[in-house]
Amino acid sequence: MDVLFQQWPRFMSALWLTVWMFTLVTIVSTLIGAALAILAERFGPVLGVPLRIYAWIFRGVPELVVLLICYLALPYLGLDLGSVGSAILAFTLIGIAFQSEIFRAGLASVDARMIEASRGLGMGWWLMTRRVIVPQVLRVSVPSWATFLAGNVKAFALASAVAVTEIMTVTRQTMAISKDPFTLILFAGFLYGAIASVLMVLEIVISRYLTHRYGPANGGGAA
Amino acid sequence: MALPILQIRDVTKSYNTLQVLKGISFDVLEGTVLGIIGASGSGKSTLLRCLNMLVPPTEGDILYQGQSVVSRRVDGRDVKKSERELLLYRTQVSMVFQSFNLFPHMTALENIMEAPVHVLRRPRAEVREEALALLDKVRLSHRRDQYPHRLSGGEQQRVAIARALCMRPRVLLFDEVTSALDPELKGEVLTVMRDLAAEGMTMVSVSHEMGFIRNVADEVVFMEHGVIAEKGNPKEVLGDPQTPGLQSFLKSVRD
Repeated sequence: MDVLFQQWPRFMSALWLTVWMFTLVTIVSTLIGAALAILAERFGPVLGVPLRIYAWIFRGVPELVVLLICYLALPYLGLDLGSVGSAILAFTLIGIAFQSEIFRAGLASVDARMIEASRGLGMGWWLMTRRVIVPQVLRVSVPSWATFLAGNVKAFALASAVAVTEIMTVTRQTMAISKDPFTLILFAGFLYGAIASVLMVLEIVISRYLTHRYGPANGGGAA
Repeated sequence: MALPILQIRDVTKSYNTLQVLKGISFDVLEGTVLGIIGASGSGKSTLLRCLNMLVPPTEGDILYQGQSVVSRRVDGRDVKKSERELLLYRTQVSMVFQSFNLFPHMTALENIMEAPVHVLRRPRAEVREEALALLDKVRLSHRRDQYPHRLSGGEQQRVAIARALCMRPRVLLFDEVTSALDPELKGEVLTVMRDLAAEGMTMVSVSHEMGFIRNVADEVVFMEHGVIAEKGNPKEVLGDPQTPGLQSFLKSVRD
């Protein structure tokens, strides 16, 4: 336990690093992934096919491989982002792949009759997307979005492989000077669990808000 | 003498090799009710969607107040209008759908206000006044803050009619608006439509409600295999069908 208290500040800065990296990656990849999914719907195969191939690759390749490519291979191409930078890039690339698929599925679930109704009321594409499509996609997509994030945050432990001093890195370094590895491993597990729990609570809060604001999901079925 | 607000001229519609509409022509006079009847697959829903250009015709022309809505002349050539150009037209010729198609994430009142505020860009307060008056007209004032899933089918359809009316359209299109409703709910929707007809609203209604067609429509069109097989005064056409197609159709509807 002593070593845990002794290393406490390092654990806290590692936790903070994980949290802000994860938050940044989530915001950027959600926005880009959602935008790409919407644009692919708008412009058809011209954008849709490359996006599907991209998503296929980055959903298929292990996170660790993407991380190592960004950290070890990109410098040869003249792009040295450092450990934190390459971890952010790698997880953003992966995140975009998953997010675009999540929102593509959400878009596909919107009833075609809503689109006809919108056109019938003289709504243009952008107005329809903003006012009719997106609110319905959000309600459908929040659970799969949160599920992906709860899994994704744990993959951030892999960033220790590219020398990012995140939680797992500090845990392993501390274990080397400790006689009580069990407590340290438990503590690391607790930290990841805490972040994932925040996400799961967040999902409930967002779902509640969306239900409150936009009515319950699947409320659009005919009587 | 009423003027034709809509003139349909030799309209055809093909999907690949399947020709759904095979040359349709008729006029819709201002302030009249036109009923369209026919078996499923006869092309009546497609025709209705052509009227407000949700489905652009393959050939032929549709004139609204004497102007083509299908194409415009550029340097002596006819150029098909783009979706963007059609949006304003659709606010003038508004459609009510068989399955209501209310936006599930908006309350009844929000559904009605959505397009007038965001498409026509009318002041929100003014639109709200009008939307509340329309809800009153369809007898749903007490349901204004409900989401569609909390409303019965008949209530949803009356909200959908109010939503279409709030665009202040010159023509209302009804696509089998009572077909998805239980028998006891059809009446409340038909009453609203009857009131609108009495007020002089121009209406085109695809319907299987023969009573409504007979008593409310000024003219009826019977469609069969993508063409107009019979047309005329509803009492005469329905009372004395000339073609075997209409005879058997009327028999099937009555049974």
